[in-house]
Amino acid sequence: MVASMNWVERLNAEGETREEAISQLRVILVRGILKSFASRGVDNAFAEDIAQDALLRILNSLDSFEGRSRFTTWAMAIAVRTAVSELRRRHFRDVSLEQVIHGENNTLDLGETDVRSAEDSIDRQALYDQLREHIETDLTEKQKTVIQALLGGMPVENIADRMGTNRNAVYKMMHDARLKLKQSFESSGVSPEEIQSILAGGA
Amino acid sequence: MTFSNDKLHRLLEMVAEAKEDLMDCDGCLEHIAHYAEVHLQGLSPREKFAEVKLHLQSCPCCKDEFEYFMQAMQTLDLE
Ligand SMILES: [Zn+2]
Repeated sequence: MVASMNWVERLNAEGETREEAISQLRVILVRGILKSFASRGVDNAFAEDIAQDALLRILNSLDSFEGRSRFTTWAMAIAVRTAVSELRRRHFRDVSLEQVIHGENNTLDLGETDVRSAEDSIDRQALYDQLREHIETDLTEKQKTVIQALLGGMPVENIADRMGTNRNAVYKMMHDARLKLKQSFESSGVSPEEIQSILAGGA
Repeated sequence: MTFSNDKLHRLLEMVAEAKEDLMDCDGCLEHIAHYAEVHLQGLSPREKFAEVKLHLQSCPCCKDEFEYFMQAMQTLDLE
C-alpha cells in the first residue's frame, strides 16, 4: 500500500520526481504490452505508443485510483484495455456496420455457410423459427442491429463507434436483448435447459 | 433482417446462458486489477468479485482483455 501511495504521490509531484515516475511507469507498461501481445506480433513502436496513450489516461484518472490493487496492476489494466481497443480499431477500420450485418465482409466471414440446415433436427428448426419470431416481435430496432453486428463478428466496442454511442451502452443493449429473449422463451414454456439440450442434439 | 441458422444457433447459446449482470465495462475495469491479483494469489474471492466474474462471462470484450491482462501481469513484481 505504501508503494502504491508512493506512485500516486510521485506522479502528482512536480519536476524531476514526476518525470522519473512517469518514465519508470512507461518502462513497466511497455514490458507488459510486449509480453501480453507477443502473439499478435506487436512491435516496440506499438507498445511505446500504447504506453504513451495509457499514461495520459492514467495521469488523468489518478484521483480514481482507490488503492484496492497495487498501483502498477491498476495502471497495467488501463494499458491493456488501451491496447486491445487500438487493435480492434485497426482491425475494423474499413468495416462498416452494414457489411458485418449483411455478411459482405470477407475478412470476417469465416466461410460460414448454412451447413446446419440439412442436418438440423425438427426440434432445432422449430427453435430457430421461434427465435426468429421473438427477435422480430420482442427486440427494439437498435437491439436487433447490435445482435446482428455481434453475430457478424464485430466487437461491442466497434459497434458502439459505428452507432455513435459508448461501449457500456452497447453492452447493455446486448445484455438486455439476451435476457429479453430468454424471458420470451420461458413465457412460451421453453426453459434455458431445454434450449441447451436441443442444441446439444438431445430432446 | 435475416439470420442464418448458424447465427441463430450461436444466439440461442447466448440466450440460454444469459444472466442478469449488474456491472458494465467501466465498472469491470475499475475492479479488474484487484480481481486479477486475488486470482493470481489464489485468495478467497469477495462478493464484489462475483459481479466481476459474471461480467467476464457475459462480456466478450472484457473477457478478451482479461486474458491479455493476465499475460501482462506476469511482468509485474507482485511482492
Ligand atoms: Zn465488459
